Formats: sequence, C-alpha cells, structure tokens
Amino acid sequence: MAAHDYQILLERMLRSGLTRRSLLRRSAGVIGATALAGISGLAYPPSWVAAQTAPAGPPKRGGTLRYANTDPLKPLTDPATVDSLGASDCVRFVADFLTHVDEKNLPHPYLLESLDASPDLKTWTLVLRQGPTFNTPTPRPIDSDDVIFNFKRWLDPKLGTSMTGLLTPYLDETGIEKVDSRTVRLNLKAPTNTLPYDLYHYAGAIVPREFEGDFLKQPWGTGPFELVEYVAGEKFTVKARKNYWRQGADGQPLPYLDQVISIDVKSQSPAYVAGLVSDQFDVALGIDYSAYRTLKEQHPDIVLSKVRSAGTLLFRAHVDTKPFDDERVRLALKLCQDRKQIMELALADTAFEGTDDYVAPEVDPAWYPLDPPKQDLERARSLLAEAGHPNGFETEMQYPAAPEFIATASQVYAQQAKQIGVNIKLVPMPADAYWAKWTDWTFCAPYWSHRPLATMTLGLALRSGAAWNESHYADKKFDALLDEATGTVSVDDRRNVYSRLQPYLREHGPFAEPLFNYALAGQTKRVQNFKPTAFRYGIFTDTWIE
Amino acid sequence: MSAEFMVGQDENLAHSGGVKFTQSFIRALSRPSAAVGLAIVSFWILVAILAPLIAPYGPNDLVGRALQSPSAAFLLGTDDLGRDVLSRVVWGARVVLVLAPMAVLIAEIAGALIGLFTGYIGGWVDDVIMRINDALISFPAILLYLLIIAALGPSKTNVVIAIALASIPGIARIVRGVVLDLRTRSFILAARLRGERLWYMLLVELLPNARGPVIVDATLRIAYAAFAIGTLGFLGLGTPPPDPDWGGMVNQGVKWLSVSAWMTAVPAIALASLVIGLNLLADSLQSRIKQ
Amino acid sequence: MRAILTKRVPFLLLTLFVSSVLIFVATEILPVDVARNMLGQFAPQEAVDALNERLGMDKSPLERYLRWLGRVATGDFGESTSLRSPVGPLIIKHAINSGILAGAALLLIMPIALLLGIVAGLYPNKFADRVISLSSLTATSTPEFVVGVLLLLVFAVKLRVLPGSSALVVERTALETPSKLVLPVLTLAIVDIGYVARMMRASMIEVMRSAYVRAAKLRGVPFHRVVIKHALRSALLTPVTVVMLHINWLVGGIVVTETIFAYPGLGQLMLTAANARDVALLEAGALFFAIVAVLSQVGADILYIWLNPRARMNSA
Repeated sequence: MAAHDYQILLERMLRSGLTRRSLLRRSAGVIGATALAGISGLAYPPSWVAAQTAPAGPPKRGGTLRYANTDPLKPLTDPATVDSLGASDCVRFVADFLTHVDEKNLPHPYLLESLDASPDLKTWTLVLRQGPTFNTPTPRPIDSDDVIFNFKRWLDPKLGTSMTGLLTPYLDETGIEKVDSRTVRLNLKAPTNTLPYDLYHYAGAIVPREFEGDFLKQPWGTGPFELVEYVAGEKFTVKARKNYWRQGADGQPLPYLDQVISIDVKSQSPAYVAGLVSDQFDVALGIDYSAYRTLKEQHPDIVLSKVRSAGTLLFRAHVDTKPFDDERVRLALKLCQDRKQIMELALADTAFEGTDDYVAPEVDPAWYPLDPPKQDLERARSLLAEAGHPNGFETEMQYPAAPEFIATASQVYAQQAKQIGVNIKLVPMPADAYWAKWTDWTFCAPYWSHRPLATMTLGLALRSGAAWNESHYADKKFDALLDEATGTVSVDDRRNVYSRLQPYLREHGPFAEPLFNYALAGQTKRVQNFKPTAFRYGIFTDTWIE
Repeated sequence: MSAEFMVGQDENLAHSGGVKFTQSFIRALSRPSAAVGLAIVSFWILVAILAPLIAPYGPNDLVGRALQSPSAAFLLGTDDLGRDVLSRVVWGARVVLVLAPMAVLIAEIAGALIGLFTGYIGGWVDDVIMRINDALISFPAILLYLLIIAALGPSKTNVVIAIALASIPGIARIVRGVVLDLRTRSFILAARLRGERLWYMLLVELLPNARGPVIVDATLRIAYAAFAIGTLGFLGLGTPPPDPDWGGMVNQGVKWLSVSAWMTAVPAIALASLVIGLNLLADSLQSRIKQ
Repeated sequence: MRAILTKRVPFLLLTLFVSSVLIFVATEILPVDVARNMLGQFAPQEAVDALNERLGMDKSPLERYLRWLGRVATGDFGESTSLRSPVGPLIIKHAINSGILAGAALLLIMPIALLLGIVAGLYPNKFADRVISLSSLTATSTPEFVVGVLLLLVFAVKLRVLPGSSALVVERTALETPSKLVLPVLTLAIVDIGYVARMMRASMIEVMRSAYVRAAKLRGVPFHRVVIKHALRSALLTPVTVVMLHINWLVGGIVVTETIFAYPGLGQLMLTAANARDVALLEAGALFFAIVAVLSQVGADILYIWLNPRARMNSA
C-alpha cells in the first residue's frame, strides 16, 4: 500500500510543477510522504463529479479573465481576518499559502518544499521552497522568519483571525522553533492530522514580516499576480506579476493571463446568469441552484460543473436551552426529516443526503459507510411525548438569506416538523444580520462551508469550548472520540474511530443535517484549464483563455 | 393657489356634507368603469372569503414537483417548493384584503383624531404639529417603510403599522381642513357656550362633518395600501415565509422566470387586477364628488 | 417672486430640520451593534466595546443627534458599515446612476404623457379619451414590480432581446451599455405616463371650460390658436408643478425598479442598507432624499410662479 501510494503522490507532484531536484529531497522524507498520504487517504473512491474542460491544446498567453464570485467582496484589511470567500480570492492572487489542497481534496506542499510529521503527529517539520520572492518594494526571497511571523500572528487572539480557532487546539507560540533560514519545526501540544489542511484555510495567506496590517496599502506576497485595485462591494483587479516562481507548460513563468477582474454580483442569480450569457464575464463561482438550472436548460453553451463537497446545512439548537436540552427532543427533530423531499425541492440533483454527523460520505476519506438516517415520524412523536411534549411545541428558527436554497430547505423542513407537532416559526434574515449574531440564535439553520476533513469542522463546531461551538455542545465522550480521530495517522484507523463517532453524534448531537451540497460553477467555452473545486476559490494561476 | 395644490384640493373636498355625499356615492357606481372596478374587487373579496372552499390545497402544503406547468392536478402550476400556485394565490387574497383595510382604518382613526385636535386647538400647538406633519408628508413613503420595517422586522403587523404611519399625515391634514372651515360656525360657538368638553366638540360636533372626505380618502387609500402591501412583499419586507403573500411570491419567483413563469406571473397579475379595480372604484367616486 | 421665496425658504428649512430629526429617530431605533458590524464576527469583544465608545454609541440620543448634525454640516457622512467605505462618495455615485435612470424616464414620460393628456382633454368622453383614460388608470394602478417583472419575462426571458439584469458589471455608468437601461426606464415610464397623462387631461378639461377660453372661442379665434395660445399655458401649469412634487412618488418606483433589474442606483442602495441595518448609509440616503423633496418643492413653486403671471401679481 505504501509504495503504491507514494508512486501516485510522486505523479501528482510532478504534474503540479515541482522540479526533479526538490523531488529527490522529498523522497528523503518518506515518512513525511506516507504520513501526508495516509492522512489524506490515497485509496480514494472514484465518485467525484467534477466536469472539467479538457485543455484544448497548448496554453495561450495574455488576455483578461473576468469572473463573478457570489460571495461578497467584503472590505479587506488584513488577510488573516478575511471572512469572505470573495475577498479571500483577492489575497490568494497576490499571496501564496504554505500548502495547496487540490480538487480531489489532497494537500500538497506549495510554498513549502516539504512538510513532514513524526509518527506520533506531534512534531512537524516545514521546509521552505527556494525561489519564491515577495514583491515588497525591495523584493527578497521568503525565509523562515517570515513563516514564524505569520504563525505568531495567527496565534494572536487580539488579531481576531479565524486561524486562531484552527491552530490553538494543538499549537502554542512556544512550540514554534526556527531550525535554520529555511526550516521551521512545530512542536505541538496535541497530535493533529489537519495541519496541511489548516494551512490552506483562506485566512492563512503568507505575508512578509514587514507587513503592518493593511493589505490594500501593502499588498505584498509571493503570488502570481499583483494588486491593481480593490473596491469593496464592487470589484477588484489584479495583473500578472513578472517573476513568479512557478512555470507554465511553455517554460515561462506563470500565470498565462495578463489580468483578472473579479466582480461582486451581490449574490443575485439573474445578474450573473445574464453576465455569463452575454459574455460580460467568463466564470461564475458558487452559483445558486436556480442559476445552475436556468443555465442548464436555456444556455447549453455555458460549461457547468458540480463538485461534491462537504458544505452542509444544519438545523441546530443550543443544547443548554429548553426544550433542546433534552436529547430525545433533538433526536425527534432529526427523525422528522424527509431528506429526499428537502433535497429534491431545494437543490434537486446538486445535493446528497446529510447524515446528522458532519461526516460527508465519499468526501472525507475516512468516512465510515453508514446509511443515512431514515425518517421515522412514529418514533419522533413518541420521543417527544416521552420528553414531556405530547403535543409538540413551538419554536423560532432563524436562517440567512444566502445561499438561496436555505430558504427553500427551511420551509420544507418546517412543514415536515409540523407533522410531529413542532411548529417552527421561520425568521428569515439578511445574511449580514444573521452572521453578526450567528452563535446567539437558539435554533437556526447555518451553512458550513466545505472542509476536506470532518475533524476540522468537528473541532471548530463541537469540541467543548471551541471558538465556533455555536450549539454550546460540551460532551466529554465526544471530545475523547474527536481526540482519537485527530490523533490517528492512517485512514483506516480513523475510519475505525468514525465507526464509533458517527453513530454517537447521530444519537446525541445538537443538529439535524438534511444535506450536503455540490459546489456549482459555470464558465464560458473560452476558459481553459480551470478546475472548480469544492472550496469555490477563484484560482486561475494555470488558466488561460482562448 | 400655491404648490400645495393637491392638498388644497383635498381641503376643498371638506365642504361636502353628509347627505349629498351618499347620493353622489350611489350615482358614482353607475358609471361603467366603476362597475368594472366593483366587479373585480367583489371577485377578490369572494375569493378571499371562500378560500377554504375554492382552494384545492392548503396554502403551504407541499403537494407536487417543483416548478411545473399547469396540469389537471395543479391548474396554475406549482412553485419552487412544489406548492399549488392556484391555492396560494387564493389564500393570499386574504392577506391583502385584510391588511389593506386594517391599515387604512387605523390611519383614518388616528389621522382624524390628530386633525380634529390640532385644527380645533389652533395656535402654536397647531403650528408645531403641522410642521412635523408636513415634513412627514414630503418624505418619500417608501423610505418610511424601509426605515420602519428595518427597525421592527418584517411581519404582517409591522406592514400594517408602516402603512398606517405613512398615511396618517395626509389624513390629518384633510380632517384639519374640515375643522378649520367649521370652527367659526354658529353651531360650534353655541356648543362651546354650552360648556361642552373637548372630546364632545371633536367627536360629536366636528367628526360627522368630516365623514365625507374621510370616506373618499379611505377608498383611494385602500387602493394605495394594497399597492404598498404588494410592493413591500416584493422587496422582501412583507409577510415572512411560508405564508402566501402576492408580492413575496413574485419576489421568490423572479429567479425562476426562465424555468417556469407561473409562480411569478399569476400573483403579479392578481395584485395588479385588484389594485386596478380598487382604483377604478375610487376614481369614479372622486370624480363624482368633485362634480 | 422674492416675496414667495422669503416666505417659503424658512418653511422648507424647517421641514428639512424636522426630517433630519425624524430620520435620526427612526434609525436609532434600529437594534444595531454598529461596532460589531464594522469589525466583523471574529473580533474580540473589547475591541468592539472600544469602537462603540469611540463612535459615541454610549452617549445620549440628543448628544448623538447634535454630533451627527455637526458632522453632516461639514460634509462628513460617516462610513458605511456594510461596505466599509465613506458614505458621501457612495451616495453620489449611486445617485448619479439613479439620476440617469430617472432622467431618461422623464425624457420619455413628459412628451408622451403631456401629448396623451392634451388629446384626451381636448375631446373629453370621445373614443380617444376613453382609451387614453382607461389605459392611464390601468398603467398608474399597476405596481412597478408587476410591470417590471412582466417586461422582464417578455423581453429578457422569452424573446431574449434585452439583458436580464442591469447590474453594471464592467461599465462606469449605464450610458455605456444603453440596452441595460431600456427595461428599467420602460418600467418607470409606463406607470408614470399614466399618472401624468391623467393630470394633464384633468387640467386641460378645466382650462377648456374656463371663461377665458370660452370667450376666445366666442370671439371666433380658430380652435388651434385657442389651444396653443390660450389654453396650453394654463393647462401646463398644474401637471408640471405636480410632476415636481411627484418626485417623492418616483422614489418608490426607483427603489422597486432598481431591485428588479439589479441596477446599482440609490434605491437599491437604500434597500440593502435597510437590510444590513447600515445606520450611517440609511441616514445619509434618507437625508439626501429629503433634500431632493424640499428642492423639488421649491422648484415647483418657482415654476408655478413663472408660468402663471396672475400668481406673480397676486403674490403677497
């Protein structure tokens, strides 16, 4: 198994443009390679649905690509405090990340030359690539001081970055050790298998140590583009950089494009449908189902793609508030779901069944195959009666206005809950208003973006005291299971833990999960070699237009 | 005449007395456009009353596949949740036909009370109240709605409150006009000499004389209120889901126009027809009164 | 003229002042944590509290109102919490877009509506009048969103001759892609033409019945000269001034129309500001509209006096 895995990993790395020399250096960290492979699970079930435009030939240089990301272009100051995908795209054009997770959810070293873990997953060695330079006023190559600078920022609770929540469960500032000008060692206080993925979180762009906090004033990074302008709520423009460290198929530095413009279409599907159709932009990411269907039925010349993702909708409750503090009530709320009906009406064939346990089937490689829970109205009613609500009860449920499908799914679910006597009063909210207080709502319908490993989401959302533990869930047994899962090296071991964790959450957890959805995107035929991913990022480094 | 032309017209209306008004009302209905208006409005009132009998399904029942064209089971097709469009339009009639008169009733009562009071009291109190009043009138109604509903949140109650609040200044002005005209008449002076109290003066002596213009205004305002309810629903500021609200249904359907237009076009046309009918009625009433 | 102005201007300033108080009161009811909105959901609570204190959110309403007035007087309208950019330039940019839309609509509305109204008023109760009157009433009664959605359905979806969205993707203003203006302008125009045409018709009828005009007819003045020389000037009086006052009503149409077509004007900005509870933006926008309303009233007064020589003489 190990040798076979390593072979595939080699091929992948070759395709992503690493040179021979760094490959040899790579092979010296075999444990690292296997560890990396083991974490991500190379024995990958081939159930991915990712329509790609097969590259039509040799890349063409030049041109401007315009695209729309339905996630708004929120104001941008510090890359580490970015909280919108749209704005994070801008950072990603200009600044690189230490790792890169591809469309198959496998991580690769990117700015790093290698990323190795000790067998117990508590010591990680990061070796920087030689070559990437910052486009600071006096350009200079990246070194380990920069990396340490970024890590320290991410761990600083005063900065208000989402990286803190990801890293602090296993890393403290004291664990960062500079080995030499290209090597940093992380001595973790707890084992983890999520580090390569965490480094790819959209708030984890690498800035030079001279960075003072305002990206629009100091748009510095090692990335393939340079910032021209960023107008919040409207658009941003980046132009190609001259001396990027990666090269294209023709031996010249990437990117192929001259310029990329991203436009904020304010999540209005008629706007981006019209834009795609009339050639005002070339790509639309994160499109809603209504747009997807309109394009599919009316405009066959637009190339559509749907990528399976772990993005999920929850109906979740505070476990410390009546009546949701009673497990039986929560279970009843899960049992009344008719997932097929919710999926069909909200997203049709662009969703797959939720599992009430956050682990997305065939997305997380360690997923333990369990059938999705079935609707059981009888049992739900009797559980409610047992818990003291023989006639059901009334509750509010807040939900955000975007993504579009949440409104539909919530209405359908409310109708289903009526059948067991639970009267849900729906409270739609503008997205901003909802997310401003998203942890305060007692019963609500949040959407969680795609993360390749379920342990990442579980850690953020359900670990006792975690930053994003919106349901106030505090269960020692669950914490222990989660620790077990994050501390495993091999996929098989993790699957073993999941075989216990998944049923546990389905029974005791704080949410009902009707579905996972596909990430939908559309592009015109002009666009070549762009692979939309479950992350919905706009990454056009390797893309060209006809 | 000054640029307060429109308002001045309303004040002139104040001169119509009670009996003359009723006669004009009946005559007004005999015009053909009025008849059409009456027919339309009566139709929708009937639909609203008979909703439980006419609608094939409940307003929120998920009964079919989404976005279907009309069929035997679903005469006007289904919406994006697989609900019957016909049923939702029928049940939705109740929303408009209850909320619009309610808002106007509240506005007329409150506006009349304010107008009676300030017109009768006169003096600096009247000046201050009228300044505030005129500022409110000159404010675009839509902004008032936006501010009020942004503050209070979308719900049927808040829609009524918003529309009522926006209507009160105009009504107050009309009623005040009546009072100003009548203040110096002999029967008022006589009542005052008798020592009648304020509320008696306002409600017993003055209010009946304002009845005419208030009723005419009310008919026009109900048309406007229906218009506003539809618009607020369309902007997402009306009845929250899942209950049917014509404006809201149009709003939800716009993104599906390419796939199926029924869930959008039917409530749109329903609302338009109701408002047109109400306007036809109010229009013939107004022109009759003016003559 | 001067006399009217000196009487009216203080009144209008007062109206503006009262409006500002009302706007401030309305937006201050909004249950909004302004600092939290500005700093985002991950910011630590101490930073949020500090910013709130700096913004003066903890002071009394009166004090906040006065501070706001002071800033506004110097042209500082604050920063939008949802868009994180200064409110002033934002309003101006969107106002220009709305202005283009409204301007184009008025260019379409005025000639057509006046013509229709004149024809209807000259031959009342004849066939032409009945058609015009009925269609005007229908048009003006139909909510803008109905007209807009139906136009969208016919021209953008079914016939596909016009774009389904007027969002300005790469253009600075809609003038660069006029096809994006067509449907929104048509939507506004259809509803408004009805309104203005009815005004014009009523005014025309009244003027034609007036003693002045009848005397001219009796004197044997040819019909067309009666109309052009005598009747029109008086008849235009009312509708033109009414249109100025109508601007308030037009605002409602603009909000709806811009929403349907995703046109980035002031109406759409107000709606998103209301949804996002963006207090600074709401206040500035509402104030802008109040100023426009007041200015249009002043304009209506001036226009009325200019068009009506008798009023000029009678003005006290």
